[in-house]
Amino acid sequence: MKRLLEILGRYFHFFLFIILEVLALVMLVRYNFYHRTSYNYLANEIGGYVHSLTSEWQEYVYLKEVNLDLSVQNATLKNKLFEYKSKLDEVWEKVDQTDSTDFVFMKGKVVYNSVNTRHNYIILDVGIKDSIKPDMGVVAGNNVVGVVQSVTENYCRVLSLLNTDLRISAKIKKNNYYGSMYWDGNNPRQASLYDIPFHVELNKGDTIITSGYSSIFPEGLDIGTVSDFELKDGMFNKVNIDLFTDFKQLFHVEIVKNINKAEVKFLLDN
Amino acid sequence: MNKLIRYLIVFVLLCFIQVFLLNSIQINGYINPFLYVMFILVLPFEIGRLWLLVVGFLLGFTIDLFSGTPGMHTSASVFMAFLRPYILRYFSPREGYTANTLPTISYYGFRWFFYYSLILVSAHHIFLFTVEMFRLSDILSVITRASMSISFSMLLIVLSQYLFYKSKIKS
Repeated sequence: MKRLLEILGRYFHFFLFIILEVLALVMLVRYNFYHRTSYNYLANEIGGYVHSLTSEWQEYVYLKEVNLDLSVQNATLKNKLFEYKSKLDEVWEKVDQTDSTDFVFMKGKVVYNSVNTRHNYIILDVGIKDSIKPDMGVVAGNNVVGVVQSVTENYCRVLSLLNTDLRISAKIKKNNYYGSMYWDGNNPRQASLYDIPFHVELNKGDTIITSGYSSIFPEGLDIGTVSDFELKDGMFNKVNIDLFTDFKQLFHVEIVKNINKAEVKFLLDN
Repeated sequence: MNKLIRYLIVFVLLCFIQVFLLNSIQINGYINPFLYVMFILVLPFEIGRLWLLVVGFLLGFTIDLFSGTPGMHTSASVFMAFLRPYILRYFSPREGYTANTLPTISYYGFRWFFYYSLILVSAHHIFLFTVEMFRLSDILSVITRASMSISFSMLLIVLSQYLFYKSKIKS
């Protein structure tokens, strides 16, 4: 005790110095607006930093609980997913019964393609093993490309739209008048639609789509737009069409499978 | 007793000069000389450390009172008062300080006084400007402002030494 007092006495001036400085700084922070705000700012910063450290630590500590919570959530969500999945299947079955989707699309890759003859073909890398059959439609996106002609084990030959042998049932989108469309063998960007009655209103730029009557293509695939038309035989218009499909740039196409084709064919044949 | 009154008068005079004259001089917005610290410089050698701190506190407090900056000059003056004994010991002549002398130019010469006061004034000013800025990021600004004010304060202190204390020695 005596020693403590001795030390206190010897260094008393130092303690007094500290006391007076603290007093001065308290006055400084308390009565000067700038220093008060600075002090508050600093205290905030330091406090925030410390809190961020402790919160990080807390996060780590509570990791187990959070994990548990998440796994419980996961389980309930999974259960719900299965619940909805079965419900969705029910809904799908109902939809299939009422409004059957006749067409299924399969992707294929172009391995050969020609545009410069009158009888152009495309060869795709899908064949019998992919259950491709003749007379299936081929499209690129929403645009008509051609029809499968013959199939081998791994490949199929597609009659390109740019083949004078191919005829497609097409119609004018705005008024549903339909006709037969085929290529005249000249311009690979143009084809013609025949058998449109002369009274049908036509304009440049009208969209031509598939009619869906041939059971090769579903209805509403894009073919092209009207570029011009002329009267032939006094009764029917020949409509020239700018094709949407650029046959020089075909890489990936889809093959259209008609599920109910056999039924349609049966009806047609009898 | 006579001495005490004389110091009191010096105290009041320095505070008066500082508050009403020097505080209104702000050359370039930067340079603000603080002559009042001279009071701590010229206190007698015999004064105790505790009293020195108290005097420093009172001096700074008085200046703060009239400058509207509570705590700022107080803390700097206390710091300077705390340092003074250490600086005096460091600059003490081989035979020690003679009795009945004062730490002024008239007794210990220009060279001694200049270094002694330069260190203390610098300590005071740097402390003061740091406290004024209140953040360490503006250290460069603190140094420029402090060094400018230090040179002007030193000029005034040395000049006043010649004005007041030189004549006293002759009389």
